[in-house]
Amino acid sequence: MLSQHERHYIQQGMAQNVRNDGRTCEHYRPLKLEVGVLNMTSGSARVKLGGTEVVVGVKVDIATPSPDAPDAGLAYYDVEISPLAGPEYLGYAGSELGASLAQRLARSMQAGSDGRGGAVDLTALGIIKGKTCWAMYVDALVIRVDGNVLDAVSIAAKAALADTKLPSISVTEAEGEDDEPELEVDDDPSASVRLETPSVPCIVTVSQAGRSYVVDLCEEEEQCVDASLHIAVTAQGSLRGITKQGSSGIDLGSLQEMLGIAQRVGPKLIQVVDQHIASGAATAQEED
Amino acid sequence: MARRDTSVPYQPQSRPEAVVSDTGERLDGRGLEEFRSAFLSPHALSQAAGSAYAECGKTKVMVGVYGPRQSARATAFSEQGRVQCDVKLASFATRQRRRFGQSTDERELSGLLATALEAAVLRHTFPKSCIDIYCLVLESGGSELTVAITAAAMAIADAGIAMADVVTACSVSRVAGQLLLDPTADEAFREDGSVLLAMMPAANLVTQLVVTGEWSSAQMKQALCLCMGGCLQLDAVTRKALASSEEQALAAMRIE
Repeated sequence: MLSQHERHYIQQGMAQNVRNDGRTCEHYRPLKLEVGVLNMTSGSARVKLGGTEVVVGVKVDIATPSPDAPDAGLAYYDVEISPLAGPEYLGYAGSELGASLAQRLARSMQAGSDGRGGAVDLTALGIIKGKTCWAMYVDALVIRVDGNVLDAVSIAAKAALADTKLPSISVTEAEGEDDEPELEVDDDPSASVRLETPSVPCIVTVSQAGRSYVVDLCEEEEQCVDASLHIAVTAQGSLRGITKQGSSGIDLGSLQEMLGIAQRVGPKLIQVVDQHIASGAATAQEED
Repeated sequence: MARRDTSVPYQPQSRPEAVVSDTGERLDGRGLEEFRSAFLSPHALSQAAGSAYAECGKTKVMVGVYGPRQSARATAFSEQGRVQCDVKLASFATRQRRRFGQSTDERELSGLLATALEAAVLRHTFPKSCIDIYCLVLESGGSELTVAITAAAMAIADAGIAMADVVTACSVSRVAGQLLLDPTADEAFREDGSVLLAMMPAANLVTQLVVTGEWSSAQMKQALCLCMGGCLQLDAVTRKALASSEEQALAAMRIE
């Protein structure tokens, strides 16, 4: 917990567009991103954003589609804060925070009830209409917490989804009327199909402290802001999923300005993330 | 993320394909930018410090406020009072019966409600203590959260807890490119995007904003304007209901 004077110092810095680590208000901390780090998954990524560290694994299973969207697959998002990040995340508090982060991540990806219009096209996960589909589990594990966990989770999720390969599957039509169609999953990894993820957004959390608007807060800075907006932005700069957080109201002028900042910063961030993904499993380090 | 139950309702769920007619009329006869009929009534429960009952179309919500009082959960010292919310959908509120116990979406609704209210409640007036807001959705006919926010703010006012302003909330669904104010459950089912705005209308401050789906800046502005208009309409109803309930209470005192 910060003292009143420490808080004041940090807020004054934000007001003058200089932060403790020398960044301006619209700069992210150095991003380190690796993809394909977990062998047991269909896609995975590990993100370090300053001191915050997140690992995301994507696994796919066979499931039955929802009756509302028979030709689409299912996607589930989960976030777990490991007690490794600190004893305060052990038990109830950690699971509550994790669940709320997961809801926000899911909101940024959300598809319509027919499985269309989501960040990931869920119809690409359909196998046999009304009978079989892929269920995709996106699980994030937060290992270290140093502010801006949600942005790091969303970056890691985007990278892990881009890394995800669905096993190729062939359907043999049933011979008799009562027979079920047969599925054959190709276990050759080279025959797998990569998931299309061009419209997966990144979440940019923009916070308001007095008259200044700041992105990518570290843990100390998070205690100095009035309110935050988690704004998911696509590479084209359109908005996709917003949630407000924090115990102050935001006036409408500030709201518009915060949306504008997210739309400016988001595509730049995605560009950096895409570069990391494109450079493959190789470890890359780059400053925004 | 709903866990599927082992039993299903015996009547199949038929959801209408088109929710807006060619003439721009909605299934319940409303225009695109028209509110459902709303009924708000403070002081619905006698044992709570403050309470409210709200109906918006088929959505029925009851809210009870207790406190300020000592938190039941052990929490650290805080100069600012806490606002604890618990939103519960009755097991019979939806078509498919809900399981007992808090589900993840109820937990999420509780969090969103708390954020929407915290900004309005003057929390420094009750340091070290908390107010508990219990919100029960009796029937879920769409836009539960907006009704819950409006009713909860009214219940807090009814409890006499200091607030900067009342909070009203309103949502907009986008169905096939059209913006529908105050959507019903059937309309929300067909949506490809939604905006929920909670605000303090007199102070003109946004206390909660929840958006799903993909939005361009222009369309987002349009949706926000529509929501704001809705919030202002509800604000007038809220104030009137609070004032008339206060008058009734005063009249009752005079008779005694």
